[in-house]
Amino acid sequence: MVKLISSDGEQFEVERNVAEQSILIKNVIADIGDDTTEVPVPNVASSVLKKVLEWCEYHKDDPVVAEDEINPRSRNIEIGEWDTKFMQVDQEMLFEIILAANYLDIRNLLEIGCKTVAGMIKRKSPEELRRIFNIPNDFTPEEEAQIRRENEWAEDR
Amino acid sequence: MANTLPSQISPDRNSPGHVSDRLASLATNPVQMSVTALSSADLRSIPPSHITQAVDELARPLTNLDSDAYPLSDLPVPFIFSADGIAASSGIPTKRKRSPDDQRKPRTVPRLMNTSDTFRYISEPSADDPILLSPTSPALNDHENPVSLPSPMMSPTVHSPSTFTTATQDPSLPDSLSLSNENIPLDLIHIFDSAPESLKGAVVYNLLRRCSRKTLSSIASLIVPSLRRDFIGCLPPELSLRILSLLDVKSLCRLATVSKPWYDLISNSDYLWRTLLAREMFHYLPQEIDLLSHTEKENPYKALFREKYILQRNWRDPNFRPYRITSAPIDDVIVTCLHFNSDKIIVAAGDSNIMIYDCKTGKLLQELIGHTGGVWSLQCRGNTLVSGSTDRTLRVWDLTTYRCTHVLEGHVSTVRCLNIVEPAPTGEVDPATGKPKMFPPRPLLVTGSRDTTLRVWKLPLPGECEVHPNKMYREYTGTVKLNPPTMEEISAKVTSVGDPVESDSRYDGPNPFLISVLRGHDASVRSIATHGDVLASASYDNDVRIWSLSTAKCTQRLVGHTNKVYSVLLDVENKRCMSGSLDSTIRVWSLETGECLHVLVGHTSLVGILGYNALSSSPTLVSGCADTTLRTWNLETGKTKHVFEGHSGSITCFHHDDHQIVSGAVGSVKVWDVNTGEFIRDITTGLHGVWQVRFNSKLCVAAVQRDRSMFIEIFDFSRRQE
Repeated sequence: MVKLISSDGEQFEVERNVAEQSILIKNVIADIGDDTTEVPVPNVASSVLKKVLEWCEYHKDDPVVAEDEINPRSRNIEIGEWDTKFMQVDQEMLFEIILAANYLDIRNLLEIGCKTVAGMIKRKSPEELRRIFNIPNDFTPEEEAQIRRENEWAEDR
Repeated sequence: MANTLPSQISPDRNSPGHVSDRLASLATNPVQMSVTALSSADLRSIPPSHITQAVDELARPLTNLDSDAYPLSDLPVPFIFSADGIAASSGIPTKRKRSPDDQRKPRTVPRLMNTSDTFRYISEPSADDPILLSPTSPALNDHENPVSLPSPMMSPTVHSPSTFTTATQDPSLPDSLSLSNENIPLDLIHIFDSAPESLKGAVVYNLLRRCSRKTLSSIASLIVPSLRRDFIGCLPPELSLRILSLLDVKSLCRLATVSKPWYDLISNSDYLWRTLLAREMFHYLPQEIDLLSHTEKENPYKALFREKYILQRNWRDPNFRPYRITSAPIDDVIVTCLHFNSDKIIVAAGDSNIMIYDCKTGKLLQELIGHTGGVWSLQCRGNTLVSGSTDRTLRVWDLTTYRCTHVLEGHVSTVRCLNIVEPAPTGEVDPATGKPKMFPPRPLLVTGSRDTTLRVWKLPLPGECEVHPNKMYREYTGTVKLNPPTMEEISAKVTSVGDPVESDSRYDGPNPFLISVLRGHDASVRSIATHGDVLASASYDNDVRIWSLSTAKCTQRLVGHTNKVYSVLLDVENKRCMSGSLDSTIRVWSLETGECLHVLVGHTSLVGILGYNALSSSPTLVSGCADTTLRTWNLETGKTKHVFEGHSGSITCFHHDDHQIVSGAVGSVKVWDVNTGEFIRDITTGLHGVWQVRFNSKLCVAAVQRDRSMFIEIFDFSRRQE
């Protein structure tokens, strides 16, 4: 078992193969050479760490994919049913999960998080996206028109 | 209790202490400040995750809103309004360690402790504000900044209400939040402001618990949008780009107008556009990027993607008529070979001439005269052109001067096929240099002939042992056939590089370029393929043979076809080769064991042409058949992937890349989607024959027959035919 300490001091005890979904933690354990010590995770709050570990527990037997093995052509934004449900959280939690997955170097979780956001963005108009993500429009109408012209080559004709 | 208004309740017996008592008592006094100012300003100073949790809690059934069931209200002051508190109330087992660190507010943002600072942030967004404007600055901690809540216009500390809209997308409050017009004591606000962050959370939570469903619903509708995250603008750029790289180009280009951070990320990222280029399999040379980075203002990868994307769309749009250039006609000629590069089209004809056309104008630039019989094989390497002829010779030409620089003699019948072999890594490392070993050490030339032999030559380089065009190297008839001289022996005998041999009298040795003669086939060699040390040959004796160039030995004889073999290809990476035959089948062979892995069945006539782009990231085997169809094949299962039906005559030529097949047969030149099998368009119709067709991303060049005349047709997909 591995003990992880969240940024707010909460302890999580998980199986080693669950924790080692995180390359960061895997390396830390390898460096220490002892999996009974506590591993502090100072950048992740307990609420997020709990969620992340839930994912790691479910995926503990999955192979870890190396970054360069991800073929850019095979990257569609489809994700599995369990992961889809898992990612049905509010934007704040999704944001935190992505940051945590990046910090902890959990590649599959980061990929799923990114795909979830890509799914939220896909086929939305800029107006819809500003509303969905609460983004201020900092363009003048002239600038906006200019950018539209710049990019109209990608539109269907 | 949950339905009582704040002004009607007495302090809860379990409430954390005097501050909330005072808050409750002050709530009854008339004041000048609106309660929504409290809610927006104070919610803003609470870390978003806490608000989320509070909202989650509030969403529970109200019947459970019993203070005793909430350990939160039992916590001493200052209690930590933290995630594990919620976790404990949710029944999640935790082993919380009490430590001095607990006194530290877990996710406090110091700069926002000051209320006026908060309002400055909301009301006066500046260019260096990391959340609002800069896509590059968000660090890991920036996400802890509070979110901007929609706020009422009458909020007293806002200097300029109009600037509010820059920070809040939707400033309108829900109609149901009728409290916005009621006043609350100013003191209450001041006390709240001076309270520690942890207490603020507790106070708000306790206040929220006292609200009616209606009010909660209204507050929830305020909170939920305020917790929205601009993922692309706020995540570290490498993560934002990772997300964007999952989108299609049409979405991306639209998203550039969302906000400046989005625009900057989308427009200026090499990574993003390189990923898209790779995903769409738009191949390019480093020079193309260099050129664009000098000529274009925008990101060169984006500019390149746009160029390739537009070209691709033009190819695929049946209504797009490419700009068409047609050469002058030539009567009664058979076109045997066609190659083109960025400026020249090289056409070999059955009547012994090689013609060079200008890609841009379609004008005949030059005829290469020298062969005395039809030219049936041809290949280019840079400015060197090699041609093989029924006159039994090979000629090497310099395309910058159109001069014949070498004539290689030796075959005793038509040179039917030839291939230039480039140095390739052998997979071994040279222990002396630490670099990968290459074979061959210099480019070679392999030729196959109707005389049943294959010959391996050093490819003559420009200026190397050049002969007067009228003098030929004659094959040394002494010991060559039994014991060919080594390259060193030959090199010792020939004059130095760059010193042309002027006459036979000055040089009377063996051909300095011939390395070996490969014997074994019993009939014409029809097709060859090479890679590094490996040579595959297909013959009219029904066999395919595999040879080692370094040892000049046949390593495999692949027996199985029941009729002449017309075409052979190598897939060295997967250690296999493919052959097409007059017996209507294609066979896939193992280069390791020589066994036939698959017999590809489906065609009903001669499979004369095979195509396989071994360099592609997803190579596809394409076959063109006399039964008027093309097919693509799954080489793992041996099954047909797609049948391309539509031509009305034998497939006489085709060329393919990762996107499409362009095929020619009597009647038309057609384009097909190589991956889906769909017919895309005709490029030209009404033809009596199509001799050859080749294309790149921009141009399609075809040698076609109309009546008795041959034309070279150039279709430019970057320009529209007016």
